[in-house]
Amino acid sequence: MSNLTRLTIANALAGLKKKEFSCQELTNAHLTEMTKHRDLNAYITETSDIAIRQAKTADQNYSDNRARALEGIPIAVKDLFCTKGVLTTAGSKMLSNFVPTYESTISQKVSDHGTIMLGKTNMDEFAMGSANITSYFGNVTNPWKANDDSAPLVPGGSSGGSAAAVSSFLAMAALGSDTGGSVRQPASFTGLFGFKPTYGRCSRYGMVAFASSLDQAGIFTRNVLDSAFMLEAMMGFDPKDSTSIDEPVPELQSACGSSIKNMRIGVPFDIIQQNNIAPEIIKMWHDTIEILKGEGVEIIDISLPHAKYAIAAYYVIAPAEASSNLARYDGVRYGLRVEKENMTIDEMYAMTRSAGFGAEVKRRIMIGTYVLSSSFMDAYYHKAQKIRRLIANDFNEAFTKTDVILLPSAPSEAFKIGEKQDDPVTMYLNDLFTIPASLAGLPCASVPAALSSRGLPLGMQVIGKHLDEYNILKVSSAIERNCKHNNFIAKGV
Amino acid sequence: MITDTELCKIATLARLSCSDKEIANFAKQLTTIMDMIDILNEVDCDNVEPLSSVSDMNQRMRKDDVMAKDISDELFANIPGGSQLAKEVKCFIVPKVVE
Repeated sequence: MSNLTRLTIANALAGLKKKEFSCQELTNAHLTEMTKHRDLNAYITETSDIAIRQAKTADQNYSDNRARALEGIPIAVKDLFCTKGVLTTAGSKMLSNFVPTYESTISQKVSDHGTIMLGKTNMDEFAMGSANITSYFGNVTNPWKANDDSAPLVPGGSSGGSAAAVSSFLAMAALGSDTGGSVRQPASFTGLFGFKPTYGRCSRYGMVAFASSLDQAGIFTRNVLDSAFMLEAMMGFDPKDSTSIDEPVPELQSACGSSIKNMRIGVPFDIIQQNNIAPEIIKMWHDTIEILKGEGVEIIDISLPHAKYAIAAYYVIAPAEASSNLARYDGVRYGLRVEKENMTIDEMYAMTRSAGFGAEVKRRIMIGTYVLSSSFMDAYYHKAQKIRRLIANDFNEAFTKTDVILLPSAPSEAFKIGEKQDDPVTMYLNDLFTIPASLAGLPCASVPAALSSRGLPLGMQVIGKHLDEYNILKVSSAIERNCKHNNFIAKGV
Repeated sequence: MITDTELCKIATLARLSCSDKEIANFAKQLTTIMDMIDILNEVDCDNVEPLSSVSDMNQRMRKDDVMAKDISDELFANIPGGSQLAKEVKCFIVPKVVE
């Protein structure tokens, strides 16, 4: 039955409807694969009991002709979405005992559409990382390997467990979150389609907060149409999130496979011409431009003059918000508490936080504390917010003459576990291409577009206008149908 | 350049305690990170309004209706150490804060 895990969501739904197989068979096939591939460490918690129970309900719903839009589709949930009664750790020792008493809006919405939860996926601690090497629950391994080296590779981060799960057929889709690239970069590293909607499209209610002005739920799938299915279920207004956008959710499935003739594609040639970008990334970029020209689009030369400041601005703004958000972990109400006799409450705070947070989280809390301190607030925090405005303005200007913008998703292919670990700044550069759109709150996706010379997937990023998820799917679908020959499936899974 | 003394001050403000080795290491790393961030000084930002959020900042109003139910049991469900006393008295128990 393991071949059931290879189906697309569209085909699985058709098969379930025709009763070619049952939801229980589909779910069991995934649970079997999860057991086989535990070495990848994709899941922190497997929820097989819940999955089997939900699958039985789903089968009944098919029998009663009341199947919902995603009835019986087994998915994984990043361990940063609170799930009622199910351990939710955010990859941290701090929350290693935390069992939420409420459900995040996004996990509730997909469940209300009929999906089955297979488990909670591993992630960088509090979503801080680009390689899934900062989790308290250990590294996640990318199912892909270079064709000249068997060394284990990172799946990207922070949603590395979600990316590894979907790319190794341990789930048909997986929820992720993207603050500075945490869906797009791992999608690029694992040959998946990864989508981050417009900031405010998906409710943040029940998502463990990292940087609230940037955090947004996203989705990993093995193709563009499956993403449309999931996004239609995930997006939408939620009064429980004050930044939620009160706009109707568009129909998205028709975007997939439709013509992109005469669309205007913006390419920042000023960035392409920089001499520090890897030649394989430049080649993918040029090849994608040619593919799209073949589809009848107009290529527009645009400029994003402030994009080069995005990483610096991000590493002020995101840690500032993180230091504030993570102040709640004090050992008083939930999570870890470290105590000793006759200690003061301040000692309890410090001992708890020092034991509960890993090094990367501590670094970012301290950067945030530093840039928000009264002497440096103007020089760093306010300055970074001004640069954020300039970056957003660059996009606004570009979108007066284009429909979508094309950038790479990551500056490299997946790298070895252990590489880039010594210097935080080298690791931060992974998000070079994803951060600009995050700062502007724009919808964006990573679509597999090439294989490197070492046989590893590379993703192209498609950025859309505010609320224009539809055109991103249209263009991504065109890239997908022209790159099918690459067969973005890791060997041996 | 972030000195060890400055790092100690930051750590104290952030309620983190660090060993001497950690202090030296974090001071070095934070210096590298802040050096990277210094590129922001290249940009002239006079007359630029800071952008604190991309979302519509006009917050929605709603009627002043009671929406919450009694969730006091839920609030104590994850009490550190699972203290039964805390659950019974519905108070978070902390080290003594007054002399």
